[in-house]
Amino acid sequence: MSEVIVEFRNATKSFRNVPAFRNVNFTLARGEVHALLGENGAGKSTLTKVLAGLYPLTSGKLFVEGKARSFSSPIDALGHGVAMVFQETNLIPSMTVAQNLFLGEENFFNRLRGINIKAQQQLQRLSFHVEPTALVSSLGAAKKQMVEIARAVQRNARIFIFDEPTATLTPEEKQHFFALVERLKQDGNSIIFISHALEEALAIADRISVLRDGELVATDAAAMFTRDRIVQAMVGRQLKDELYGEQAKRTARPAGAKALALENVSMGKTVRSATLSVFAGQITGMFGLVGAGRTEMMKIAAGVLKRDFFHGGRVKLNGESVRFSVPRQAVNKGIAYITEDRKLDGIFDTMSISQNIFFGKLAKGANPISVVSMAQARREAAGWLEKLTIRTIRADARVVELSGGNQQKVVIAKSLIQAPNIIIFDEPTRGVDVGAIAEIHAMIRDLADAGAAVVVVSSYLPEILSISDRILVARQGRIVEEMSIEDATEESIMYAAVH
Amino acid sequence: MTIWSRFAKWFGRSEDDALSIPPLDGKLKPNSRLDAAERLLHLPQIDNLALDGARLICSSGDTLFSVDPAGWQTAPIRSFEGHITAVAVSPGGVLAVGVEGRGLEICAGGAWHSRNLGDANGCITAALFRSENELLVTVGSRHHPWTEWKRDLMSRGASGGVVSVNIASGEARVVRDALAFPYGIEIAANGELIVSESWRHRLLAMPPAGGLARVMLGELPAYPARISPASDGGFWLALFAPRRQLTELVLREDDYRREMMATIAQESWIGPDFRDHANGDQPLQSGSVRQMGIMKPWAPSRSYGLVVHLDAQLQPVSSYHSRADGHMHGIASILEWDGHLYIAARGAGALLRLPLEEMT
Repeated sequence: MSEVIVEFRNATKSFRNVPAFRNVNFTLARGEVHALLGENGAGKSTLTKVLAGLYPLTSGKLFVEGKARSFSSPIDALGHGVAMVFQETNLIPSMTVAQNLFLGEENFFNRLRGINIKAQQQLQRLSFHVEPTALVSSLGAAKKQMVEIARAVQRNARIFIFDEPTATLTPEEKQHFFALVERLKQDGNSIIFISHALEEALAIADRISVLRDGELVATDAAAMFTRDRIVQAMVGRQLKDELYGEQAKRTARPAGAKALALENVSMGKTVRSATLSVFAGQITGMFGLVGAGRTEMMKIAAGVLKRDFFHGGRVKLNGESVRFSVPRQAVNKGIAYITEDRKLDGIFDTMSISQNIFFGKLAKGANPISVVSMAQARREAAGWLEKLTIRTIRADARVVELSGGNQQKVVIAKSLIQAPNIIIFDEPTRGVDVGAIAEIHAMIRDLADAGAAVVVVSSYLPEILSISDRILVARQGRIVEEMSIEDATEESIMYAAVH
Repeated sequence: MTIWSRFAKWFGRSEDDALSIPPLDGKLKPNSRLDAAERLLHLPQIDNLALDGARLICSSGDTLFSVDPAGWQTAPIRSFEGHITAVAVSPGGVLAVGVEGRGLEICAGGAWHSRNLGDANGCITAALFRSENELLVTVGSRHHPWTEWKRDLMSRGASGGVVSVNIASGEARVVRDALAFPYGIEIAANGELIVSESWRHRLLAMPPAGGLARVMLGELPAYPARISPASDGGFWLALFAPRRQLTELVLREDDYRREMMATIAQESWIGPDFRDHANGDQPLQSGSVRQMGIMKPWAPSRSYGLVVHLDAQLQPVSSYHSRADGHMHGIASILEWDGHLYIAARGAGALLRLPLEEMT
C-alpha cells in the first residue's frame, strides 16, 4: 500500500457515554478510493465527521499526513485538505449556485458575472448540467448534490469524503460522478466513499471497510469482497435476494378502487398534462429521471404545490375533484406525502423525536382546542419508535442526533400517525442503510396489504422493481408508460424514461 | 377556497371547467389486442350484432345479414328504407329492428310489421327484449336522427331516453327521459336497467320501472356504446370513440361550435368519430401517434377502439384496445357466443373474434 494519508488509531467517539464507534483502526492511502460501508447507525458518518472537523474524538488518535490532528471545525479541516460532501446537502437555498460555490471564498470586491463565469467553468469541467445563476432552492435533490460535489472540488482538497453522493443521481449522472472520482484519484487525491449501493462500492473502490455497531468488522481490497460478503459483514446475516430479488417470485396485488387520479394536470413547465391513477391496496411505483416531474406531480396531489390556476387539470380524490390550497387540507382528506428531502421538509431537526412525530398528529387538527399534552406526545411517539424500530438513545433525543435511516423513520412515523389512506413515499430509502431499507420496504408492503393506496417514487430501479405492483414512468412532466410488474425490466423502464 | 378561486367562480369558472380527460390506465391500460384479434369478415358500416337461435346476425347500413360461421360468409335477410340502428332478438325468436326514420320493424312468425314511436323513430340506438312481449329501446335523441349523432353531441343534446314498447299493442311508455344519448341497455341480475349514457360518459342503473338513476361507472375516458352480457355474470361494454381535450374544448366553446356546425361538413367537425377518415382535411389526427418521441396533444385522433369487460358491479376487469395508430376503431357492438367474443368494429368495417379462454 502506498503512503498512508489518514489514520484513525484506536479511535472512539461517544455521545453521552454511548459510543458511536469504538476502537476503530482505519487507514486511507494517498490516491485511494476507500469505501466505508455499514448499516444505519453503524458509525460511518460519525467517523468521517471527526475527520471533517465536526466532532473531536473521545479517545484515540487521528493522523493526517503523518501528524496527529484534532480539527476544531470544518474550516480547520479544509485548511488541512479535508473536504466533506454531506449526506444531506448544506447549501444556502436563497443563494445562487455560483454564490454557494464560492461561499467563504469571496473577494473583497465581488463581481457577480465573474463568479458566474467561474462557476460555469467549474460545473462544465465536471459535466454537471446546472445553471450557475439558478437559485439553489429551485434545484432538485440531485442537482443540489452536484453543487455540493462541485464545491468540494472547488476547495482543492486532497482528501474527499463523499457521504451517499449517488443516492439521488440518475444512472447517467452516476457515470459522470464515477468519472469524476477517477479523475480525483488520478490527481493523487484520496477519497472516502460512503454508500449504501454496494455495487457502486464494489465498482469504484480500491478498498472496502465495513462498520457494524460502531466496530470495524472488515477491511480488505475491494477485489476480495463479494456483495454477499459485504452484506454479511454489515448485518451479520445473509440478506441475499431479500431486498431486491423478489420480483420474479411474486404476483401483483389486485387493484382496488381508484383512490387518486391526476387528469391533465399542469404546473408551469415542470408538469405538463400529467395523467395517472393510483389504486387502493396496491403499491404504485413511479420512476423517472431527475427533472421528469415525478415529485412535483405528487406534491400537487398532496397540496404542497399548486397546479396552474387556469387549465391546470384536475386532481380527483375518490372520484371527487379537489383543489388544495394548503397541505393541511390534503392531510385532512387522508393524503400523506413523505418528502424526499427530509432535512428541509421532513423534520424539525432540533426538536425531539416525540415532538416531531406528534407534530404529524397536530397537523391533522387532532387537537382542536390547541392544548398539547407532552405526556401524550411521548406516549404516542413511544409506540411508533417501537413499531418502526427507530433506534435511539431516548425518545426525547433531538432528531439531528439520529442517523439518516432513523431520521427517515421519524419522517414516516410523522405521516403515519395521521392514519392516511393514500401514502406517497418520495425516495423512501434515500441515504438509508441495507437493514433499514428492508424494514421500510416491509412497512410499505404492510400498508398496501392493509388496503392503503401507496405510491413509491424512486430513482433506484431495483427498488421500483422489487416493491411495486404497477410501475409508472415519468418523462418531461408527464407519465409516458405504465407497466405491470410481470412486464417490467430495468431496461424497459429505463428505455421509457429516456425515449 | 382561496379568494382567487371565489373570484374566478363569480365569473362562472368551476372545478368542472378543467379540460381534463380521465386516464386510460390501470385496468384500462392501452394495448393492441383488438388489432391482434382474428378478423372474420369485412362489412362496411357493420354495426349491430345479435344471436337468433344458433344464427349470428349483424347489420350494415340498411341491410340485415345472417353470418354463416362456415367460411364467414354473409347472406342478406332484409333491406330497409333507412339505416339499421338497433337489433334485438327475443328468446322466442321475435326479431326487432330499429330503422332510422321508420321506428321499429318487428318480425314474429315470419311476418314483418312496423311500430311507430313518433319522435323517437329517428334515433333508436339499442334494443333489448325484457320479455316476449316487451321491448326496451334506448332513444339517443328526439331531435336528431341517428346519422346526425354528431350534431346531437355538438348541440349538447339531452333529449334521449328509455322507452318500453309493447310488441303486441305497439303501446310505448317512457321509462326514463332527459338522457344524453343513451346508446346501450342491459338488465342486471337484480332486474335493474343498465344504460350507457354516451354524451355524459357513464353507465347508469335504474329501477326496472324507471325512476331515479344511479351512476354505476362515471368519468369514462371514451364514449360508451352498447352493452352485452358476459358469461361470468358481468358485462361487455363497447366504447366507440375517445374523449379528447380538444373535443372537450370545442364542446365548451358555444360560438365556435355553432359556426362549425353551420359552415363545415359534418365529417370534418372536430369531435369523436368512428374512424379516421384519413383525408386531407384532417391531418391533425396523426398527432396522437408518437413520432420521434413527440406526441402532439393539440392534434388528437378522433377515433379509437375500446372494449371493456365489467364485473357484475360494473367495475372494469380488463380492456382491449386499438390505439391511435391501430385500425379496429369505432367499436359498436359486442356479443359473447360459443366460447368467443365477437366484436363489431364499425370504423374499420370488420367483425373481430377473440377466444374467451385467452382473455384475462
